[in-house]
Amino acid sequence: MKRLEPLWWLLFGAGGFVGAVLLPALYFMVAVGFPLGWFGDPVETFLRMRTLFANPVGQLVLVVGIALPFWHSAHHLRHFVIELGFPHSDRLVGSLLYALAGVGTLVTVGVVGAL
Amino acid sequence: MSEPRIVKFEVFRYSPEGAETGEGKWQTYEVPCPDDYVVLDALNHIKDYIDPTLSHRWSCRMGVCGSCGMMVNGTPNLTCKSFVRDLEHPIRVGPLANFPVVRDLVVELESFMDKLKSVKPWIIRKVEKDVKYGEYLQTPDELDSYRQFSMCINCCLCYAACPVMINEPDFIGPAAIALGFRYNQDSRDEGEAERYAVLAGEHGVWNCSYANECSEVCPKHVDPAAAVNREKLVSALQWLHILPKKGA
Amino acid sequence: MGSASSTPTLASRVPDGWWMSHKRYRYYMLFAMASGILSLGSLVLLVAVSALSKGSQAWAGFLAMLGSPAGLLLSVVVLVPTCFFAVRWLRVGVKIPQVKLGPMPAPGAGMLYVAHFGLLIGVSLLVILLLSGVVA
Ligand code: FES
Repeated sequence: MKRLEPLWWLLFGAGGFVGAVLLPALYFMVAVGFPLGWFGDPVETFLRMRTLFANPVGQLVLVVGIALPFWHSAHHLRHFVIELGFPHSDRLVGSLLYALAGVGTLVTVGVVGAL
Repeated sequence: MSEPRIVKFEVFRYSPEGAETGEGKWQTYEVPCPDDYVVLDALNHIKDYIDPTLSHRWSCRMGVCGSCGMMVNGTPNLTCKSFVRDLEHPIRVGPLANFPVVRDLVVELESFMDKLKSVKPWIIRKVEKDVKYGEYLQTPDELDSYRQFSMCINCCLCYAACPVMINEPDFIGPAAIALGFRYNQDSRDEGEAERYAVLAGEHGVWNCSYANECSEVCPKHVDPAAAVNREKLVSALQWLHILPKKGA
Repeated sequence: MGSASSTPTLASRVPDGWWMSHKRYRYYMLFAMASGILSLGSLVLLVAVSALSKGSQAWAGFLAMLGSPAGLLLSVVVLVPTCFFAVRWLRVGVKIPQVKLGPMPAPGAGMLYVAHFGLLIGVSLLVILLLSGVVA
């Protein structure tokens, strides 16, 4: 894990960027705007979302937008745990968090692939 | 001039019982402070007129030597630059956090000196050019790329502020990394490959979580956090073999 | 570092009140927590995509779930930290790329500010326009 520090950091940075630039608007539309019916009824939004995302480009955007933040959170939480006073469990905590992010990425690829 | 004000100081005192925990006693002094007093003046007053057993370090009294850094009301600061009139009373003065305490307000800097040396803060050349061929030239732009990082006075406030140091005392830390980065950025230097193992090593930049505290407290506006995080970017790209290492 | 000094010392002291007493420390820890919440947002989006792949019925179910009071509360819990995160991330991120990378000159702080926040505004507008159906 220690030997891959640059990789964790790059994933952390990429995920942070995606999370900062893409997530607020995307989350707002999907989880607030659509449920409250501001942008059409469920059938309309369903069809619109399918046309936008059920293609290779749309799928790529979804995988990047959903999976990279997992890596971001994992890395930041790892540092957070150290800062709370547990530097000695770093190896365990870090491996666990990165493993979770890995599983999250695989699941994301699967779910998005089924679109 | 107005009469000096009596100001209460709570000063950290060494106590051998605290060897394990770092705990000591907080001793209260009442110091008559003229309006232009800095905390260092008050400490000198205590030492000269109230309690000669108090130990603290200082030299230049003008924010240059870097030896008077202490925790002032919980924040690392140069005591020769902290005006008593600007502070909340009572004023609590302690030794720099994250360093072993030798006595009262004096901390042990040995480990810091080792860290500084470990980044090889001098110009490294593959082949030294003979003086008769003249000096190494540098453009103003090339100077600007590292200039601010050469302003460090080694006062160690950044180490006392850094939350990483609390849990990872072997982290080579803000000032040392900023200095290593300063030489890496110097157009005359060819030592980047030699410094890589330390700067990007086990106790190097990857320990940093970018709290930015080092830059907040730096009295010389060096911005060590910028140096540390730029070094992360550069060494990550070198790790991917996208960028070469100078002098490799 | 293994520096063996013979001077007897007290153990080093933790900064007073670490980590809740200082405003800056507090912000920093909140930022770390907001970083974690980012993934909660991702997870909700993952559920949305899964509903989208299962058909319009599942999609309507997902929307009903998030439109409920509990669902809206969840969105507040995700969106507030996410926006806080976005602003601080893009702001502190400006410092990092100001370095000469190979033959590329170092970009200035002003340019990076414009680039970071321009990207945030541009991408957000694009997402809102596309998803709202204004541009088909
Ligand atoms: S006494 Fe020299 S910096 Fe304060």
